[in-house]
Amino acid sequence: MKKLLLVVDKSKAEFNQFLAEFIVNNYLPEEVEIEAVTVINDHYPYTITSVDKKIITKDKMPVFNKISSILNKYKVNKHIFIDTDNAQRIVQFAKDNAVDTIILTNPNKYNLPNFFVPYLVNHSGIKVLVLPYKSNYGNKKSA
Amino acid sequence: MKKILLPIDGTNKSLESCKYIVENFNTDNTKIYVLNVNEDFYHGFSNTGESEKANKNVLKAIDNTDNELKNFDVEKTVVTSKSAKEEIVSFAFENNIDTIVMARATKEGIKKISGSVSKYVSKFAHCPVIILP
Repeated sequence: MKKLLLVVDKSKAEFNQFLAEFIVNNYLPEEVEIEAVTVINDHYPYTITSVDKKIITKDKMPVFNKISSILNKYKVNKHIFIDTDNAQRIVQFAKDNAVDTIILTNPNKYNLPNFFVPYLVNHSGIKVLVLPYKSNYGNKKSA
Repeated sequence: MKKILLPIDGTNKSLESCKYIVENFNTDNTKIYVLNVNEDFYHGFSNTGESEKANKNVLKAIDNTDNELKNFDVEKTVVTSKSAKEEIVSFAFENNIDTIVMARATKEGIKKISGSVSKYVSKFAHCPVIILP
């Protein structure tokens, strides 16, 4: 059984829906075990914001609602971490849990340089599957 | 029919993507597009000897995929362009590719720096990109 790590976006539900639908279209429930992970930045000495606190609600974990509803037939383990470095935390988790593939949507929200994906690719030693989010191809000339 | 794009540059590292394809895709409903982009001609610094050498390496690399992908429907393309990364993204879009499979970086010895091509492709491709370590 393959272990997939889904990098869950804590602010954009549509990214997570896109991610979950990709899983449904490409993997059978009996083929995979899913580790859904989101990381909240804790930039010391700044405290975690009130928005982040809502995400951390341990009993409900609302950030995973989209993923859970679409992947209701899959085995999904949910994790929320607080760390100063998102990418580093995800890489560490992936290595510790023998993840086969890290899957994430390519944010490209503001056409800024993307350091997150290269970090995952360079430091994990694990396959990284980057999903385009809708309009990426159209933005290529302006980046 | 699933369409997979396999960009190769002649190095052994890029050929490792073939193994991933064999392990993860079904020969019955998958077509593989092997693409090599020759950037040398456009750099303007190559003399005829270097261009010929590059050409030979490309043809050898493409032929090497035959052994690995023997049970698949394979279409091979060699193009000359000023930018391999842009060509890969354009080719994928124009051919309605479903997935791109590529190595992280193919330059030997540069182990900690992400390849510029895979970084660009993962950002701008219209389809999922699988980057192999």
